[in-house]
Amino acid sequence: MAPLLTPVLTLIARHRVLSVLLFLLIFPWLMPYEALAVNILIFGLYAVGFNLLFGYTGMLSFGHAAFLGVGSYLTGMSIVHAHLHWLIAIAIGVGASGLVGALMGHLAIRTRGIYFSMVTLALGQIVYYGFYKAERWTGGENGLRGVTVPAFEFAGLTIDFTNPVTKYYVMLGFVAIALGLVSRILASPFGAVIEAIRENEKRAAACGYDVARSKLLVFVLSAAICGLAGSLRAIHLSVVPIDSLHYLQSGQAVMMCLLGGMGTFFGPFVGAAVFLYLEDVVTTLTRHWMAVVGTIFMVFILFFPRGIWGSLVARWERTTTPSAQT
Amino acid sequence: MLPVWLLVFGLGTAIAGLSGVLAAPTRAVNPEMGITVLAESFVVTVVGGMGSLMGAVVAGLLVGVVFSMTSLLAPEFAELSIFVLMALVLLVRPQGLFGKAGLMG
Repeated sequence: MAPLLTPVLTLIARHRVLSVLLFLLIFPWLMPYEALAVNILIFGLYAVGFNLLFGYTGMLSFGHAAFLGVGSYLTGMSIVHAHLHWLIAIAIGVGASGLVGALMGHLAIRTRGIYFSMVTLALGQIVYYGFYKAERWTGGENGLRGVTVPAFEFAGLTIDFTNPVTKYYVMLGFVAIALGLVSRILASPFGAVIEAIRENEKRAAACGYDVARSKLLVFVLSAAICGLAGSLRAIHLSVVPIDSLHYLQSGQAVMMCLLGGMGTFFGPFVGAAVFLYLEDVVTTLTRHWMAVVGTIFMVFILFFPRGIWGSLVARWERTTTPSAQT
Repeated sequence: MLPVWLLVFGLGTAIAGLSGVLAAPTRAVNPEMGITVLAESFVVTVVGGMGSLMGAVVAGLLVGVVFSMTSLLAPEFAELSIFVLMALVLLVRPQGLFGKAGLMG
């Protein structure tokens, strides 16, 4: 690697949140249209939340759609039925996701490995059917309609969410807060504990760390971040489709994480961007986009098991001695 | 060297395929027919306990009966009931009805 590149990369690694945000600031102009950029931003955050549990703690959950959906539905219902301010609605969505995460986590962390995945999948299905059947509140199969935020004044500017660029930058503000929080968590002693649990759970317990409590805490944090992604998605789409609770949505988080690189800070964003961009491009060519995207996904898994970003980071770490994670 | 992993995987897939053959005349055949069965079979495994043949049979029967009875008495809770059953089993007996403690953590 060119010697000039190393200091730049070290700088990126040291200020990972700032680098990601700088990239995301120019991101809408790299995409064919802004709505796709908003979508990638939201699903990037969803994958980051999922990665906290999957990549850093080593717990593969198949029920994360529940948190995305609960965040979406509670935000939507607060706006549609209770006519609350959208900021309060987002807070309710995030809080409800955290609460559902605490309930699900309480049951699921009793199990490990494939069992954990099964249990989270089944608990996610409970949430799915619960919202599906509560048609009066959630609209059932048709989804919840009419989640609109009226234009408002902020610091002398009129902010209107019907303009996708405005919407993107407002949502980037929320994503920035969430990313800062995740980065702070990962850099803290607690972040070291969850990585220790991933590497060797018995040893982490033998070192005196409360494994069950740490697992539950990281589960709740992950749920709340995915809930925030869901809340933003409700405002972005202005409807809440019942699909957002479907477990295919949970599978998407797994795919995005693996594609981008699990256990890396920026990887989930790369995965979400590649996945959604591919989906967007391939659907214009053929109806069977799932077959094409699935094949590309398998090629990546076979030849780049660390994911796109993970492989780049690993390659860079081989050429430089100090280990740093971006 | 016997490719044990490969053979076991193949055998498991073949048994699942056999259940598909048996299901075809009673259920509608369509590309998505596996989706509901997937979640249901997860529930059966968790309720019965991992690595227990007896558990799989008994839990399969139990889950089927619970699903049918709620479909009859309270149809809107039918899909929910089996997952609630699973949550209850997890709370009371995390290793499943017939599973050995410690196998699943």
